[in-house]
Order: sequence, then C-alpha cells, then structure tokens
Amino acid sequence: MDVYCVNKKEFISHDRDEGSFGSHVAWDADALFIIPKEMKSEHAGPLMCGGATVWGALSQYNLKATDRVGVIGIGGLGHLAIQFASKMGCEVIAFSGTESKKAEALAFGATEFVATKGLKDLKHIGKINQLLITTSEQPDYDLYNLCNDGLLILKVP
Amino acid sequence: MLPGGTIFPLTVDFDRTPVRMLKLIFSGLSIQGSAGAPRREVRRMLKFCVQHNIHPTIMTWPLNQKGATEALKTLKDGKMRYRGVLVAQ
Repeated sequence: MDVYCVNKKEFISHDRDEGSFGSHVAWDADALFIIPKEMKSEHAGPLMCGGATVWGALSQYNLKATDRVGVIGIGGLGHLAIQFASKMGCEVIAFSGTESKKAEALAFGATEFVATKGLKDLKHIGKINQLLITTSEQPDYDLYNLCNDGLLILKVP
Repeated sequence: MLPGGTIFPLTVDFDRTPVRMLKLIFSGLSIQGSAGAPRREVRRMLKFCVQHNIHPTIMTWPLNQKGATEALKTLKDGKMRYRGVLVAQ
C-alpha cells in the first residue's frame, strides 16, 4: 500500500514545499485525485486527511454490513466515521463525553448515542465488533473494559 | 468488545498502548494500526461520498491572516464543528 511505501517522499518528512498555498503546482498525476464535479472544493479538503483516515480503517479490514461499529469522539474524524459506517450498512454507536453532540451524531447516522461522562461501565451497551478511537486524546480505556486487570485463577492440584 | 473484534487507535499518540494484553488474548481482539488510506481507497471514498451525499460539516474562513487567526481561536476554544477550512480567495 502506498501509504506505507518505504521509499515514499511525503509532506513534512521529506518536502515542506508541497504547494498548498500556491496558485499553481506541478505534481505527478498518479499522486493527485480528481475531485468529483458534484463535490465542493472546501468539502473535498477535510476528506483528504480526516476522511481518508477513517475510510482507511473502515474499508480495508473486513468490515461487514452486519457489524456494530463504535466511534469514540465526535469531531473532525468521528463525524465522518459515523456517516461512512452508517451508509455502509452498519449499526453505529457514537460515544461522546457529554450529551451536547447527541442530535448531530444521530443526524449523521448513529443508531445509538452514549454520553460517557459519569458512567462507571458500559455493561448496558451492546457489544461492538469494530471500535474506532478518534478522540484528540486517548479515552478512558478502563471504561471500555479494555485495560482492567484480568484475574486469572489457577487451580493447582 | 465482541470476541474477535478490532480496535482502531486513530488518535495520534506517542505513548505505549493502554490496552491490556490479557484482554487481547482471551477475547481474541486485535489492535489494528491505520494511517490514512492508499490512493485507490481515497478514490473510492470520493465516489462513495457523491453516491451517498456525504460531506464534512465545516466552518469556513477566508485564506488570509485574519481568517487563519479566527479559525485557530475557534479550534482552541473547542468550538469547531467539525472541520475548519480556509478558502482561497
């Protein structure tokens, strides 16, 4: 996959003059995208980074239409992840700190909305196949039952 | 998580993973790293967006010093819904 190419030369790590703020730029056509005429340029911009990040996760790892997809964090990435997964046919469970983004999350296509602030656990939430973490900082993994100390009891005869 | 489920930590982070190994083992979970999307998938995404009328929710400012300053303030105040775009004039 080209994003993991060992010989790639990309913006910042190899080239800081990629031309975004210029009026014209010459680039290899293989590395460019034709923006569909139905799409506004200002909408295409966020899709190239945040959109591609969540699309990459949803499109390349055997997601099924019957999967329950969790999206933690409703922001630049999360609001697109909800729309993509929902249109792909999945049930989408949106997790946010407070209730403030509930109406928007449901409008983006989320089937369930969970405000996590004050919750001790998520046992009342149905389990999830694919969990996308799109918060700006790491969420509380304890809440999602991903880091609690598993207690293994061995019976010694 | 359902057994066999996948966790995608898309948040950029320099720390070690906070997920316990035991959880991964006994629930058969995977942590799947993912950075962006290959060009083929970006093209498919654009087509999918047109087909399903998906677009980012954006706030726009003109691409100049004033616009950039206001956009960054909105971002710092946590009021960006959900992407800020500086539009070339």
